[in-house]
Amino acid sequence: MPPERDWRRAALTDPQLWVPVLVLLGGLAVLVWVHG
Amino acid sequence: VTDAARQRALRLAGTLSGIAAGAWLGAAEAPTKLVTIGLAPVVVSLVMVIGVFLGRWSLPALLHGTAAVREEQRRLPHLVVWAVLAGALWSVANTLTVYAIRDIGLSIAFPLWNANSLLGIAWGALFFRELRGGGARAWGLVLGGAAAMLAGGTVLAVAGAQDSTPQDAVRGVAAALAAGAMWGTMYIPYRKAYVSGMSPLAFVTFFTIGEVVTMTTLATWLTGGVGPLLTALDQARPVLVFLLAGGLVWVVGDLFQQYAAKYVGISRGIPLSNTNQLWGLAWGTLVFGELAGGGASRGMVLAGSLAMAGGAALIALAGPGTAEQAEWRRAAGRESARYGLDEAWVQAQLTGQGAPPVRTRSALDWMIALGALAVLGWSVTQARAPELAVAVGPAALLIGASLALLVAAGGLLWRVTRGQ
Repeated sequence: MPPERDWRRAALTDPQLWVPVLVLLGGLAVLVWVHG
Repeated sequence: VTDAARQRALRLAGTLSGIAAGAWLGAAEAPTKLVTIGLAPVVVSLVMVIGVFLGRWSLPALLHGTAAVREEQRRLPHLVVWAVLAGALWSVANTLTVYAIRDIGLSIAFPLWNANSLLGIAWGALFFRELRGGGARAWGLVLGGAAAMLAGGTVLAVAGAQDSTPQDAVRGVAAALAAGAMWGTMYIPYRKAYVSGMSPLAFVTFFTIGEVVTMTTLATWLTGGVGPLLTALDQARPVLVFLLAGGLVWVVGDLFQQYAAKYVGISRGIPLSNTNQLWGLAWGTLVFGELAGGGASRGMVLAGSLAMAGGAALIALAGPGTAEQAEWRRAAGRESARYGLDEAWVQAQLTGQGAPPVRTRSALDWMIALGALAVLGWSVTQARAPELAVAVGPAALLIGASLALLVAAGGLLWRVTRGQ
């Protein structure tokens, strides 16, 4: 049974998406910096 | 079987999975120690990740193949995003540790990133209602156990480190903290998958895709382009088999970690699988003759190991009770409402009572599995025997213990949940 609601819209407003995304971007920024 | 008995069995299966995860994640370091030629750490990571990917697509492809994965992707399309995200988080964090060790040394870097378990406990409580309803006992056992493990792990790192002088303290600390934040946050996707009813093998599939793509991108960038990366891989040919084997062992550990995250939550699953440090140390000292230092460091190793094992025991005792299980169901209900999932189906999956996954083996599955095995076989033909003294007796003992945990945890998971 496919999900009835539009999962993209639900995901975009889900804080459980933005916490990992922001942490990933922050980690990438640190990596660029330490790599020099 | 009564509901309470089933919950007890699931708790035991999850706890045993966490302990088995520690053994296998720790054993994954062993084959990489056979690599004595100088390779860039990022190339080592890339080949191990390729091993993880091949491991997922070798024999498990016949157990939970493309049809089952497609079915889960249709039912839970949003979780593909989270699984790929988790793989990317793992790869960047793993690469950051290389810089942290270079800049501040392992003994300072390790406790900084290993605090990931405390962050994982915080995310578990905040987002997935873990430890709620468990009262002071659950909080005390889990936080006390995690703190004891962190302290023990730090002592072990200090005892085992052969550090050079720190080069760049600020950068090294930033890299270690970032790695810890990423590894701690990686468990949000893990837990989210299971409160939505995904199966561990499907999650690992998308996770390894995120991992392999991110790691390839990072390795290409850090080695200076496609040409230099291919040259580095070509130089690594004689040792590819050891690194791939490390990846194969790692994927077994990660699968157990997934089951631990599913059945005892990330607040217990992460600290339990962090016992991998203990196993890694056992392989290093007993099998490869590392840490030939004096009595002081032996005393530290003993104290650190005891603190770590004691902390893990506290966490194993803190199994989620009835009130906390009800809170978990609320967290699962939130996912069902937000993403329009069938709540009864999710609850059945959460207790390992769902309908078994599609178990058809298509020609594609056979081709993928044979292809993965062919690459592994080819790497064996390229191998050169390492010139390194290995203590066979202790190695056999550690392999035996790891296999015993595999059989115990795997057997219980199969009996209670049919591997769901």
